[in-house]
Amino acid sequence: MRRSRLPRINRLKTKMLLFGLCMSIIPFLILGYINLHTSKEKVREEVDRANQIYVENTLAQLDMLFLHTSQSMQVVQQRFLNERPSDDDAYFLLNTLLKTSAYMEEVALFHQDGKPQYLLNRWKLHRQDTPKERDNQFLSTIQSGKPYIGSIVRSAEGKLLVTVAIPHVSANGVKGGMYAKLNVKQLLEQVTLRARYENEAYLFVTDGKSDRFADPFMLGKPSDGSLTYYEQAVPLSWTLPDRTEKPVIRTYQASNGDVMVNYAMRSSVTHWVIMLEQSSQTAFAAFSKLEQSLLFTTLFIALIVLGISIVFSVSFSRLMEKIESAVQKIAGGDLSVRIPVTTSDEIGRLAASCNAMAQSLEMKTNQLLEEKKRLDLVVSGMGMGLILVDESFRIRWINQTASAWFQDASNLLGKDCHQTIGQQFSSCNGCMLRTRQMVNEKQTDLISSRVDQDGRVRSYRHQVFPLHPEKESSAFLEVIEDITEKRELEAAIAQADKLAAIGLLASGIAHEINNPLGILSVYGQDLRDRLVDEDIRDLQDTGELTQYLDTMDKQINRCKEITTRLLHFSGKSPVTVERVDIHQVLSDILILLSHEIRVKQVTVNQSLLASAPYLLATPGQLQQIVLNLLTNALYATTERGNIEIATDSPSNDRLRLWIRDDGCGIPAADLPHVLEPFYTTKPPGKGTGLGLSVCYGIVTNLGGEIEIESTPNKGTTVTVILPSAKGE
Amino acid sequence: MKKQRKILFLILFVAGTLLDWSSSQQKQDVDLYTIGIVIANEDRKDKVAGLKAGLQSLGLSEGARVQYVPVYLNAGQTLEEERSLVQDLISKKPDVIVTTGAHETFLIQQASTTVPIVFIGVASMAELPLVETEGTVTCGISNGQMNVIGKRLELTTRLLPDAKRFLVIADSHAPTTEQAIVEAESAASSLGIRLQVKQVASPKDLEQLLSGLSPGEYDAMLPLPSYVLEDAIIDCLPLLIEKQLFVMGAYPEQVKAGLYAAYGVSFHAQGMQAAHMVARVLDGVPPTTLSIEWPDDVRLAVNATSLSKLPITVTDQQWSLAQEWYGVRNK
Repeated sequence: MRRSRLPRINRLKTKMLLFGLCMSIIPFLILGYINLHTSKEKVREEVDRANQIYVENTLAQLDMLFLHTSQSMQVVQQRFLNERPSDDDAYFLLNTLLKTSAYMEEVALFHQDGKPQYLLNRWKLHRQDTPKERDNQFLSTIQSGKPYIGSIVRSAEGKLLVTVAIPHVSANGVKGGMYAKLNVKQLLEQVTLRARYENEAYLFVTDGKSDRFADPFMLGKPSDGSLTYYEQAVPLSWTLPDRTEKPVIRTYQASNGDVMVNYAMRSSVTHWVIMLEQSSQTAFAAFSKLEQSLLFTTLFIALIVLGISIVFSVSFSRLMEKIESAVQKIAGGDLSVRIPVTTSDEIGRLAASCNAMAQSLEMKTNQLLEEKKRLDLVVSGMGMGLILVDESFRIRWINQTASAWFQDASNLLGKDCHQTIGQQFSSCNGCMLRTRQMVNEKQTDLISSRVDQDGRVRSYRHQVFPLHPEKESSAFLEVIEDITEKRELEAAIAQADKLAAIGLLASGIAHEINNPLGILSVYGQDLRDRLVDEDIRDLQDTGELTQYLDTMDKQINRCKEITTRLLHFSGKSPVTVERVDIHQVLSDILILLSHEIRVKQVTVNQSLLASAPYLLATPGQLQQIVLNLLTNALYATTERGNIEIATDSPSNDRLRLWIRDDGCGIPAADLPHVLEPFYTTKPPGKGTGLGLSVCYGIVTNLGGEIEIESTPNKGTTVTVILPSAKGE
Repeated sequence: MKKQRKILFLILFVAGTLLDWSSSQQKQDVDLYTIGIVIANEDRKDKVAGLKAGLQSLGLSEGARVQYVPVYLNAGQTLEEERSLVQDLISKKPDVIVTTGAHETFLIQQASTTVPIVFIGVASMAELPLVETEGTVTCGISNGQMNVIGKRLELTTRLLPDAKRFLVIADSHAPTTEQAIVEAESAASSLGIRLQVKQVASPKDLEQLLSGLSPGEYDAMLPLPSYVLEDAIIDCLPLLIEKQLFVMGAYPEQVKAGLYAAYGVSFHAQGMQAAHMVARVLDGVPPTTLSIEWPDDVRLAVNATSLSKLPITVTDQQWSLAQEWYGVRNK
C-alpha cells in the first residue's frame, strides 16, 4: 500500500510549531498592546503636562526678565535723577547697564518729547544715528506714566528687537524716561537657559499685539538649550484669549500631513505670547521606539521560539513519524516491521504497543493463512466447485475444483460470472434473474449441463447461498456439483430395477399371453374342422366366419397390447420429459399385473379423482414408480386382499397418488430403512431392494415427495405427491 | 537531521542579525557628516575651535556625527597650489565647507557652486563678490567689524581721554578699506577728533611705517578691517610698545596675544555662532536662506600687562568698560 503523505499543515510537527509560536507570541502581543495602549494615554498626559509646565515656566522667566530689565533701568534712571552725572559718568553708567544685560542692544534716557538725552549703543557710536523713537504708542504710553513694551521689530541688520521703556514721573508729571532695545534672540536664550527643554519642539514668540508669531526658535535639538532660528512654517493663525490662566492646547494638521500640537499662553504682565509647537510624532518618538522595540522583541522571540519549537517538535515527532510509518506499513500488509523504542515515555510505550500489536497480528495472520490452506484443501477435496460472486455477479473467488473445469481460471476473477463460465452452462441464461428467483423462492438446486473438453455432456447441480441473506443485495456462494456419474448410476439402478421387475412379471405375462394364444388355437382348430365339413360360403353367409375371425383378432390384439406394454416398460427411458397422464400409466401397469391380481384374487379398487392427472416426466419414470408401488402392494396383500388406488389434486399445481393395501404391513424397525437402496425384507429372488429407493430418486428428481405409512398386519399406504403439469 | 540543523542554524542567524540590526536601529540611524574647513591663517584657529565647540554643544560631536577635513593655506603657496588643495577637498564631497575668511570663501566659490559654504567672520559684503550672485550656496557670520569702527574710536577716546593724535592704518588691498575710511572719518567727526589715515600694502609696509614713527608721535592707532593687518599688528607688538603707541584692535584674541585693547566679536564666538548655521545646513536648510547673520556678542577686551607699558593711567571707571581682561595690572 502506498503511503499517503500528510499535508504540511496537518503534520504534528507543524502543529507543534504553530502552538509554540502562538503560545509565545500571542500573550506577548496582547500584553504589549494593552501596555502600549495604557502607556500612550499616560504619555500623552505627561507630554501635555510637561509642555504646559514648560510654557508656563518660560513665560514666567520672560516676565521675570522684563521685570528685571525694568528694575535695572529704574535703578539707573534713579541714579541719573539723584546724582545728575556728567556726560562721562552717564556714559559709564549706561555702559554698565549694557555690560550687565547681554541682551540689551541700546539704552537711552530721553526727554519728554522722546528725544534721547543720553544714548549708548552696543554696536554703534552713541552720537551717531540717534533718531527719536517714532512709535506713537511709545510716547503716549510713557506720557500716561505707564511702562512700555513695544512690538518686536526687525532691525536693518536682521536682528529682532523689542523696546522696553519706563517713564520718569515727577511731581510735575512725566518728564521723559528711559528705554532699552532688547535683542529678542538673546532675551529668549536667557529664558530658555533657565527653563530647559528636553525634547524637540519649536518655540514661537509673539509680542501679543498681533496674532502673527515671530520667527520660530527650535528647542531641544541643541543639547545645551541654546536657541537657534529654524525654518519652521508659521503655525495657523490662532487668536488667544486676553487672559490665559494655563497654557491652551490646540491640535491641527500641518500642510505636510504632520499632526502638530500647540501649547500657548499669554503673559498677564507683558501680553507676550509663548507658544510651543511640537509634532505628535516627536512627542511620541519615545513611544514609537517602544512600539518598534516591542515589534523587534516579538520577532526575535518568535524566531528563538521557532528554533526551540523546531528542535523539540523534530525530536518529539521523529518517533511519532516512525510509528506512523510503521503503522502504515502494517496497514499495507508488512507485519514484519518493528519500531525501535528509544524512550520510556508515553510515546515509547505507544511504539512498544505498536510492536506488540504487529507481532500479534503477524501470528494471527499466519494462523489464519494456515486455516485457509486447510479449508482450501477441504473445500477442494469436496469435489464440488465453489464460486463466490458479489452482488454484481462478478467472480471474486473460485476454488481449485471449479478452476479445473475451466481452462483460464485465473482470468475469471473480477469478471461477470454469467458472461464467462455462465456461457458454458445450459442453465446460466438469465442467471441474475434466476439466481435471485432461487434465493427468493428458497430453491436451492438447479440442474444444468455443459459439454466438457472431451465433448461429453456432463450434468451439474447448482446450489446458491446468499452470504448475507438479511440484505436485499448480497454476495452469493454458488456450489456446483458434477452429478454426471451419479445420474448415470441412478439410471443404471433404475434400469436394473426395471429388468428385475420384468423378470418378476415374466411368468404372469406369459400366462396372460398364453390364454389368448390358447383361445386362438381352439378357434383355429374348430374353424379348420368346420371347413372340412361345411362350405365356407355358408359360414360366411351365416356370419359365423366373421365371428370366428373377430374373436381371433381380439385375442391377437390382446397379446399385442401386453407385449407392447412390456416393451414400453422395459425400454430405457428417453431423457426428454413430456406430459404424462397418470391415469393412463395406472391402467397400463394394471394390465401388466392383471395375471398376479387374478391369481391372488385381489380386489383392486380405483378412485381416480384427479381433475388434471398430468405431470411433466418421462413415461418410463412414472411407470416405474407405479409398477414398484403396486408390485410391493400385491406382494404384501394376502389372497382375496384389497388394494386401493386413488388420485386427487390437493392444489392446482400438485397431484397426489395413494396406493393402499391391507397386507402384512412393514415392521416399525424396517420402516426408516425402506427407502435405502438394496434394503429388502423379501426372500432372495423375490426382490432386489432397489424398488422404493428408485421411486424415491425419481420422485425427488421430479420435485415431489413420497410418504410411507404402515401398520404391521393392517396395511401400508404409500402417498406420492408430484408437481402437476400446468395448462394443457 | 542535517536539513533540520541547517534550518535551525538559519533561524538563529536571522535572529542574531535581527537583534543586531534592531540594536543598531535603536542606537540611532545617524549619518556621519563631512565638514571641510579651509583655514588661510593659523591665527584663525580659534574660529575653528569655536565651530567645533559649537557643533559639539549641538550634539554634532567629532567622530560620532561629524568628521572634519581641514585644509591649511599658507602664505608660501601660490594661487594654483591653493586651488589644487581646494579641489582635493571638494573631490572628497564634503556636506559643507566652512571657511574662516573672505579669501578662502572666494576660492571655494570659484571651485564649486554646489557645495554649501559657511564662512566665519567677514567684515563686509564687499569682501565676497560672489555671495549675492545667482546659484551660490554661501552663508555665514559677519564679524561686525565694519559696524564697530565708530565704536572702537569711541572706546579709544574713553580709554585715552587725553589722546589727540590718531593714526588710522588701512590695508590698501582690502576691498573694505574705502568704506572703512569713510566710517572712521565720520566717527572722528562725531567724536571731535582728527585722524591721520595711512595705507599699507603689506605687513612689511606696516612694519616700515611703524619703524619710521618716533615714540609719542601718535597717541593711538586704529587698524581698519583687514585680514592682513589683524595678524601684522600682533607681529608688530614689540615695535608698538617701543613707539608707545596704543592700538585699538578688532578681536579679543589680539588682546590675548598682547595687544592693548580690542573691541569686537571673538573668533571663538564667531565659530560658535557659525556652528548653528552649519548645523542647519547639515539639517538640509538651504544656505541661501540663511545669508549673513549678525554676530550675537561684541565686547571690549583689555590687556593690563601691555597697557602698563604705556605712559597712561587707566582708572577703575575706564577698567569697568571692559568685559575681558588679560595680563596683570601693575599700576
